[in-house]
Order: sequence, then structure tokens, then C-alpha cells
Amino acid sequence: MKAEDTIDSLLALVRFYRQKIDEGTLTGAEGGTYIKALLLLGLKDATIKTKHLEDMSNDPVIVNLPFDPKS
Amino acid sequence: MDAERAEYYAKRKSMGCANCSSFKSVDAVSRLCPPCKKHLIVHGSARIPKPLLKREINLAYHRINHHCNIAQATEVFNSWMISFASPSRNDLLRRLCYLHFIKLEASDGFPMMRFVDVLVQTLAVTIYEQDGGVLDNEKKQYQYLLGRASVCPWHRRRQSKQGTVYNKEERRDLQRKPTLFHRAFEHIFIQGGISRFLVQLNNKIKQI
Repeated sequence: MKAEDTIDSLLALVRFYRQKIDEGTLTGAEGGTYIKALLLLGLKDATIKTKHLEDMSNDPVIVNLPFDPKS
Repeated sequence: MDAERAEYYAKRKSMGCANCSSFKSVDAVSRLCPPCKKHLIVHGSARIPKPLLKREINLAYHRINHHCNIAQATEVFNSWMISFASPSRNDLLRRLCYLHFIKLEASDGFPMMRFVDVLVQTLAVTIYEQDGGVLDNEKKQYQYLLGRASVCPWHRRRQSKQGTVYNKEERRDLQRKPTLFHRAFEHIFIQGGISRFLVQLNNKIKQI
């Protein structure tokens, strides 16, 4: 298989599993395959963006600074 | 150093600077020439300088001022920072926090770094990133900038008041440690609750 075809297949696989995540039907084994596919696509080199901060801010250890919005 | 290790470093040196390809005095560990290495320790990247954030800081200040009251959060953050910062030189991040948040005062009598400065500067960095600002992803410069904005006055926004006697070299050296700012990203920006506060602020702005 050519390199480009491999990447196309991987991308299709990731898209398929992502759809399953959205539907809530992803099994444990499929999750493992999904992570492997992501690693092959370069998750190692992925970088944090502002949109990811929301997910990183849900840890209970984090200091809770009271947010007081102005009305 | 064993022969194998020495050979590995010699090979790295012979490859030239990883950034500018110069062969002059290349550091075998970082594989950078002295100017590129200096750029890395000051900017968090050997090739991309840290942004000035003038427009972003102005915008961030107005967003915070318009959308939230920070009095309560300031109290909580200050008390957390008092427990986190330490004058001991064993932990350099805690030492830098002690200098900026407790010991050194600006000309207005307040510490050089206050909660509002942390918020404004980190929000400015996120605005810069969202606006497509250039960042060195390979060196995780975004985390570096957020960490730096959490503990240091940005581009001399606030300076210690005239006549303050302290070890300026120590402070300068502390601010030339990229790993320290990567730790600041984790320990202050994330665990100190700044990122969560900014997320809530951004959600509030989105609702309008």
C-alpha cells in the first residue's frame, strides 16, 4: 500500500471512530484502535490550543476562583 | 563520559545548529549555536520571538473590566499564592512567585504581579493564539507563553519601584528558564485556576 493510501485509510478510520464517539457507541477495544490511529497520525506532536483549556480545567484539584459576572 | 556518549555528542555538534545551521560553538545538548540558544531561553523558541501583545493586553483588560468582578477571585488567588510562593531557593518557580507576587513592589505600592495582571496577560496570550498568532509548536511555545504570562510582568508592563534593593541578576536568571515557565503553565495557569476562570469568562462573552 502506498503511503498516501495508508494515511487516507487512517483518516477514514479516525473519522469513523469519532462518529461512534459522538453517537456514544464506541467500545473499549475500538477506543484502543482509535488511540493507536491517532498516535500514528501524530498525536505526539499535537499542540494545545485555547479550545482545549476547557477540558483541562475540570480537575477537582484546581483552585476554584469564584467567577462573578457583571450583569 | 563514556566513549559512546562522547561520540553521540560529537555527532550532534558536527550536525550544526538545529535552527540556523551555523557550525560555530554549537551546544551539543540543545544542538543550538549561542545566539539561537539565547533566543530559546528568552523567547521559549529558537526562531519565533515572543509577541509584544500590546493590542491583545488592551483588549483583554477591557474584556475583564466589562464582564466580571474580580474582587472575590483576587482574595482567593492571593491566599493561594501566599501558600504556594516560597522565598527558598530550592524551588525556583516558587522563588520567582515570591519575588513577583509578594516581595517586589511597583511604584503604586502593590506587588509587581497581581491577580488582575495574571488574568489580563494570560487572556492576551489566548487572544493572540485565537487570532492566528505565530507560535513554535515544536517547543510548546504556547504553554511557555501562558506560563510566563502567569508569573512575570509582560514586556516590562510593571517595574519595581525606584530604589528597591534586590538581586536583579537572580531575577533575570530565573526568567531565562523555559522549563520553569512550562512548570508555571501547569502549576499556576492550570492548577491555580486561571484557565478555568478564563473559560468561564469566555463563555460569558459568548452568551452575549
